[in-house]
Amino acid sequence: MLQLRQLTKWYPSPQGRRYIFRDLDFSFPTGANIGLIGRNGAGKSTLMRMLGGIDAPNAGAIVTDARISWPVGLSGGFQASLSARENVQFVCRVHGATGAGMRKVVAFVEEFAEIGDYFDLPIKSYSSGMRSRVAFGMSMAFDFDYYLFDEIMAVGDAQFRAKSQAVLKQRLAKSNLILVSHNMSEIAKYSNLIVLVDQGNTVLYDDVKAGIAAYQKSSLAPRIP
Amino acid sequence: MQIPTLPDIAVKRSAMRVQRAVLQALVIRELRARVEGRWLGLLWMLFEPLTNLLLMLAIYGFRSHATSPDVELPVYLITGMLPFFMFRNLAQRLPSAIAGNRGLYAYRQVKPIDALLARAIVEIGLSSAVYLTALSLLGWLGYHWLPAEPLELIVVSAVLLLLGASLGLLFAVLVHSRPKVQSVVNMFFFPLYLLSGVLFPVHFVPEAYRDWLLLNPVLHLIDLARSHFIPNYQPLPEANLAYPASFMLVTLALAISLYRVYRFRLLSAD
Repeated sequence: MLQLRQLTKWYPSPQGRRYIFRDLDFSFPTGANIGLIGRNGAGKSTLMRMLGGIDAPNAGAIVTDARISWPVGLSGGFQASLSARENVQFVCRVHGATGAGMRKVVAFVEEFAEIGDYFDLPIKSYSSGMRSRVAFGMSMAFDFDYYLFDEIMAVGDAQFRAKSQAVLKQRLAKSNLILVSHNMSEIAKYSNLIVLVDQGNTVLYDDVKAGIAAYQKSSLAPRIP
Repeated sequence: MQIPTLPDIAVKRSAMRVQRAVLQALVIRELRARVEGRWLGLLWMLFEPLTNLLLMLAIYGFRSHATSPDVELPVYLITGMLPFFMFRNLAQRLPSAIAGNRGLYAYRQVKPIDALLARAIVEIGLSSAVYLTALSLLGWLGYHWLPAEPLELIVVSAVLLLLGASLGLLFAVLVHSRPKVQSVVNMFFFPLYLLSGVLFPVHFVPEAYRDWLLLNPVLHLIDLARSHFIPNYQPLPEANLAYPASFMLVTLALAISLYRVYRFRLLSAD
């Protein structure tokens, strides 16, 4: 179960409160991989942050009994002055995996990321591709009910992508995905449902094609701010 | 490639267990950064009191009496300097922990205050080690090196450390959106160092000015810490624990309330 109840979120700005969501009620259907789409600034990332427990709604609540991953994306999640190994160890400790569990996770991420010696060098010396290899590997090492992804699939060469997809497929046998992307072929490939975030509202589309069409129509339509 | 099957980690951990795990992870991370990257910083922790001490000893010309014939000068200086440095390091170094761990707030379990707490634990641990080293050095040189009233000293030190940590939290929240203010704040610690009775006794200051100096809670604490350490030390007649303790509680309450208000804004860069 993953529900938004009377969710209200605003950010302060010099022009007063900027509302992202106002009294939003929404139930994420269980057992479905969800593609979260919308224009820039529609509130997708804010919703991801709230689902990931980083930010909190100003009013209302997110009600769930599911284990939700951290938002896996191109930025954040690393302490740049530490090596990938130390970062993975940190995440293991925070998630209660110590001893043998931690060694297993570290070995998996090291083997998965294939970045060689860089695994023991500070993250700040990495290219963005190397970073996302580690980030993706780390998220796959933990067992969650929902994985939150912010445009991460499209990294690496063909061989690495094939491997990522294979691992993700294993995870998705038991878990689900909430994916934010502007890449519609990626959305169509991974999701069974579309949630279109538009002007503080969310619309659920059971049909992926219809959802994508609605998004493309809404993003083309001129609007008065 | 096979995904790892993890040993059954507790699906629902209690809040206390999560908190403990987060603090442990952050303390390990802090220690790593301190020991691996900036070992010079660690060395400085030992050298700073030492250089200050030697300088003051040179100025006083190795005169052996500070306030009364019973008080040895090196003991007098160390029992004031090291508690003051502990206090100052907490107040000055906690604020940078917020930005220093920014990448890690992506995990829901980790909040800025955890980063502050972890840094406070590491700071207190390291400065205590420096304190104990300095005391053993005193003992080795044949000075009085064991506190006369250890329990009272611990209480006074705890108030001093809490005051430092509260100020650190307060600065962290206030300075967050204007990082340059931090250097202005840091400037005030040098006059505070001189006015807290660390290097020379305030006993000789004329009474009219002493009332003003007594508004400084650190002065009370340093003097009390000394009186619990050195037998026959005559503290200022006005020195008491109630004033600095209430000052600390008010600062702590203010800092925690402000943190509560600004807790989400601390997550982002400005």
